[in-house]
Amino acid sequence: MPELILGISAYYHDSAAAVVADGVPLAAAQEERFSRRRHDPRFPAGAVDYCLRAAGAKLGDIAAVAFYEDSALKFRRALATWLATAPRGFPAFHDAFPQWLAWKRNATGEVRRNLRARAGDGGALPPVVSGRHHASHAASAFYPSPYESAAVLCVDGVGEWATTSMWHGRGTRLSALGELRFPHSLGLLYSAFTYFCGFKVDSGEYKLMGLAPYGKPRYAQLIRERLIDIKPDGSFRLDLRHFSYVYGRVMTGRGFEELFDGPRREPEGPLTEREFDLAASVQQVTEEVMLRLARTVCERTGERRLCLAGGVALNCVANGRIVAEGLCDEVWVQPAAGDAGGALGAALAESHRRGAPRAHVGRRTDAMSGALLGPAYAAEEIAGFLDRHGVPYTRLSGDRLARRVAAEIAAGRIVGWFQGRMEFGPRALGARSILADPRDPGMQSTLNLRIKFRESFRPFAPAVLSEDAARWFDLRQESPYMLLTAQVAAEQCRDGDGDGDGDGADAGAGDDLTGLGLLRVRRSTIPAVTHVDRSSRVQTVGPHDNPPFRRLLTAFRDLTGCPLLVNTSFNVRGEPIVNTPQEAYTCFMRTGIDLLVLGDFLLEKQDQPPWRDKEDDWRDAIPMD
Amino acid sequence: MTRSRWTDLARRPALAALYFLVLTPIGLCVRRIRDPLRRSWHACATTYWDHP
Repeated sequence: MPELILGISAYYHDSAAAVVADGVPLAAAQEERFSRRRHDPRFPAGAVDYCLRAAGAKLGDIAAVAFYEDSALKFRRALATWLATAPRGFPAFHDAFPQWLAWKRNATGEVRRNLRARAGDGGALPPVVSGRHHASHAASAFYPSPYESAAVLCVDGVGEWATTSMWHGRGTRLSALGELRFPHSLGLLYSAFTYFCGFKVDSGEYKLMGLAPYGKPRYAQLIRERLIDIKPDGSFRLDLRHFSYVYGRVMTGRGFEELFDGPRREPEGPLTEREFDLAASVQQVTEEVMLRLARTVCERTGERRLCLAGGVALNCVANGRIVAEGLCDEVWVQPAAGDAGGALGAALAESHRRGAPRAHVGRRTDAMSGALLGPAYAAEEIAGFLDRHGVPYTRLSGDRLARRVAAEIAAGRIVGWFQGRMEFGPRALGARSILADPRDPGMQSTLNLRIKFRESFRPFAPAVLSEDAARWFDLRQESPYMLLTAQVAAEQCRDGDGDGDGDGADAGAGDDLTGLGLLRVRRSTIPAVTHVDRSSRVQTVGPHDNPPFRRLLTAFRDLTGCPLLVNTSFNVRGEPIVNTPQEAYTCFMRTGIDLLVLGDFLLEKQDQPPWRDKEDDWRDAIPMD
Repeated sequence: MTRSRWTDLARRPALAALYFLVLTPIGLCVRRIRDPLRRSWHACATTYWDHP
């Protein structure tokens, strides 16, 4: 029997569990998908149960449980911070210290207590070991990558002390080369601007990234002069006088207000030119730091392949710049680059420490199974659910299903697509997706306002057949996890007035517009997935990836000549991505989705019985993200 | 874990006493020797990397 290691990340945000067998990821999932609480930080009970089920194991069969960080070291960092900020830091101390004292400094003990409760009195409990936060990130980036050796860069908010780290991965060994330490953190710098622009920290960073192309980086120089000292090798320090996160309950204070023209934007308040420009500015600085860091780690290791993880590695615009600048030959980004991926990294690190090989490397594929590591539901389970609730459906399979759904999308309908195993990580990759026609100029607005109930500025991403990607995007490599942006290819760009002559020569039309006015310009033949700077966050779907999704893309290409679809996560704003058929059906009925595909079962909205929610307005029950 | 009203009432003064009477003096002394968070910028330094 293979040696099973269970990995757990928890108690900060995005808790998750993963199980690996002899170094091969078998299953992984975030707890939020089970608890239905977004970014759930609690012990991942639902995810642990799922991982054990998927591995066909009981807790007693697990060789070791690996926790993703060292809570005692994290407590020492908190203590050093309180000493360094006294007497100013009382509010932060008051909020945090009782928790640290009660249980948080011994997180592995808390994990053990929770596991014991699951194992029952007589159940054997495996040993619980803890790694380091950045070592878990580095392991999640390198071990499942397709490379025998690579440079590894991890950039996030903070773990114990490290906020940025560089590594050299060779075979089953990872050697630490250097780190930057708290409070100097690129992730926290980005989060400070996220907070200042009125979005939620540890949640709204991707909104800030989406907002950046609407603005001009007029604050970038000010950020470089007053907030961050960047050295040529990408190492940096922040000027903490302008931030409040070290001693307070919030990210920024008066220093930011003085530098950036007034108080922070109130959450859900109107977006102004200032927020667009702040987003553009911090994004530019972030990209600059990431490029320097990438260059340094590649030079230090002599490697031409780079692996990325940590929350900042979800910044697909910065990742895209690293690829576009040709700093290395290939970049591989862990699809669950944030803290959830720490569960997988901790498990992999422990498994390889015990001697497991990296068997996938010889096959030149990664070990992530397309990030489809979550629960799947058999046809009988789906049919059982539909029949129990008297839901009318049509059953189609294979090419017939693909052709029918492609025709519906081409006719302008929006499809909820639920197939196979759920994705691990924040991106929907064709297993729990909402799909639509990217050629429709009104689709971005329809999806944002009628389906997702979210801000109108938010862009959408395409999934494209990998063999056709080069004709549609300037992308130098595969992007299977939707973690790289690329420019839409010039031949697909068109003039801004929408008259459709489409020669691309005057693609700068509309440049006199600013802010959200930019949304009115049709920039390409695929306007629903072309951001205002003509960039796109691309997912490439290769011949061996996700067969049902690939069949659908192929059918859509055969029908329309367009080998791509809008692919957005199957959820509404503030809600975790759907996990079960029941959740998919509820989302389908609550929103303007026209068609739901659950495995082989096709459901049309007009055939469904009337839907009544328990709450008068169910959206009130979902907290804003 | 539920806490009694008295625990809640006693909590803030106890934490304040610990913070202002113990942590703050230690913190002030420590900072006279070195800043535990190394917050200063060094214009002449070529790098801020720490080597593990």
